[in-house]
Amino acid sequence: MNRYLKLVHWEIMRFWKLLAALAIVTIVLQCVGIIYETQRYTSQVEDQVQMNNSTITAFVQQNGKLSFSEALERAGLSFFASIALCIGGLALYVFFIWYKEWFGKNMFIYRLLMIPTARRNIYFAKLTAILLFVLSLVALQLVLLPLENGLYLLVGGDVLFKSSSIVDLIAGNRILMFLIPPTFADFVIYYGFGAIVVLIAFTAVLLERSYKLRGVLAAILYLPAVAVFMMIPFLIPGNVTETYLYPAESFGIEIALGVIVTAFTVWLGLHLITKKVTV
Amino acid sequence: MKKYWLSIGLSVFIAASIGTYYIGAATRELPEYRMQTVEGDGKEASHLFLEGSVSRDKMIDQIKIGDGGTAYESRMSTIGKMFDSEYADRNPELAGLIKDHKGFMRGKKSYNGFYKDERQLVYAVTKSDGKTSDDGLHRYSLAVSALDLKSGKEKQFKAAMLGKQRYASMYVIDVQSGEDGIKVLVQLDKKPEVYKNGNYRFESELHVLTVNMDKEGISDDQTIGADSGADSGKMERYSVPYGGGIELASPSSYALVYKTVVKIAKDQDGNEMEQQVGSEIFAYDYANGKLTPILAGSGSDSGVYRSLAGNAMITMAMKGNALSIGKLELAKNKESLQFEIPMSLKNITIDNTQFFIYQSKLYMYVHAGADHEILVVSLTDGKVLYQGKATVDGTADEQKERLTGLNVYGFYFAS
Repeated sequence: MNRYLKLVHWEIMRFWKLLAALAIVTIVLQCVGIIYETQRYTSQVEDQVQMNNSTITAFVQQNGKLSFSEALERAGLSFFASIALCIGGLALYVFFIWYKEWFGKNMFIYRLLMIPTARRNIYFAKLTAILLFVLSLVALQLVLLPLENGLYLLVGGDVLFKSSSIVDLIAGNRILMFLIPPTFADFVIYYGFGAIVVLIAFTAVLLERSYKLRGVLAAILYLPAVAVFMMIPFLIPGNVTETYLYPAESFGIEIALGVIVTAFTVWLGLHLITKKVTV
Repeated sequence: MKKYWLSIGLSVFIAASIGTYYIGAATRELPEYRMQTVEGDGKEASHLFLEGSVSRDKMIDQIKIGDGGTAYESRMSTIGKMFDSEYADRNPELAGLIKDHKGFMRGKKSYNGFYKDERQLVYAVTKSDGKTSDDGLHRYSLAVSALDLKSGKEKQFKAAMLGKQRYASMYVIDVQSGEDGIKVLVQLDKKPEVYKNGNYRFESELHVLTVNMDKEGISDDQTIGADSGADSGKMERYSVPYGGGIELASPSSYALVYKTVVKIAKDQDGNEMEQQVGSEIFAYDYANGKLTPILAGSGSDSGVYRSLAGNAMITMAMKGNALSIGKLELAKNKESLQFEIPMSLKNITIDNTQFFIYQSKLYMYVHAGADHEILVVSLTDGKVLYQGKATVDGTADEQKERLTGLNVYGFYFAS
């Protein structure tokens, strides 16, 4: 356990600068996006008021105040680009967390595999590190939203703008709701499924590292095989999930298939790293 | 320990941020809508649910208002929503059948296809031959399943239709039991023809099929109505109305059948269109196979709803600010009850109401502006058993805003 935790810490230390960079980019881009959107909206309203010979008060009476959640929708890419950047960065790192060990003149994998600990600790430490990175960015977004809500009112004032409930804001926005599901049970399901995807990616990498070109082919076949396996209930002729099974049964079968996929993927991953990966 | 501060700090940050958010989301106060008794016995509404939507900050949230208060969909997990989306849970008879006969009810989703008495539970559904056909017509058969409620034995068979006719579609409208077997009322549609204006002209037939459960086949096919007269410019159309009855499996000796007469007219541009010129309503008696015209009015007066309730027909219409209800005993073809209920909401039409009939009681929901009224009326004696309204917490202005924004699209009884 101690060795595993040390390995997790070590993985965090290797990535923290990049993680901090992603966090800073997120904070800066989102804050700039909000300030820009507030000013853009203010100038649009002022133009409209001037054109119609009206007043801001009359405009607000007619159209209402712009809520923070509406402002985020309007901001679009200037707000959500940072989220896409973080997702992309972490998705690449799922592969890079393994491949970096083989890079360079003196490949680090020599030392890593020589560490006097079970190789499964390396496997699980990398998985834990990836999940911690993902969750830390989600946590950052949860801290940022109320702060940005405050910034929104600070920059725009409360004449044209109003704040939003963070829970409603997230529930009303597809991208945010995908990152932060409405209930904790959903959070566990979403990120549990994400963890399975990470494990599958790890297995694909380890297949390639173990069998080189044949491993690439195996990895390419493994991904659709898992997808087909998970979709078995839906692929059986006669649409059994709809015509025969009760929802609880369909859900139970999917959970069971998910457990089987996870167990097999972990077993295969551990088998590859302990018996097949050589340097 | 000091050198691990980053890892420890990161883990604490994740737990604190995500934990705080989800605890806050689960415990935050949302407007609590309730059904409040105005008059009568509150127990009458204890199984009633209003399903609808409310908006907050331009976000639409689905809610369910019941005896226990308000359930917000935004607080439900994906799994919870998945289990909550079944139509059968919103029908007390179907929910009861699934609870008592889970194995038999598996995969049986044609909800008009059930019949249950003390002896048996029967399910009938139509099946097409499944062959590709250039003209869109198919041969149909009936798939029948039966459960003997005393022995627990199940029987399943496929009964081919008598004759060689092919149809565009066929579906089950009602299943009942007769002396000579199970009676299945079906609608068969011929291939639709296309009017000059591009609209489809459907021709349908209503048949009552008698299924012999011992011989496992259809022993009789009675046509009780067939659309006709298209060539003469005046068409007779037959249909079975949906009238708010939710007793899908309970025995009934009758079915209601509408006959409407439509004239095929041409507009200025020469496009064909249908105009209703007459209508009639019949009671079909499963015991003797006869269609008897019902004395109470024509079949499709606008603003009049008719519903089959056991062996009676219930007629509902608004008369000024009162709901007028009539009960016609189909065996005698005679009205046995006629009464009016003054509504507290004014200027409403019957089309603005949602209602259903269950166990000789009429359940009705009506809405106007910020007012939402619920009524439970006994169809045995015309007595109002419950009168209630939807309420919500908040200041007077908040209440008005919230109740005006409450959009109820579902009203049902859950056992």
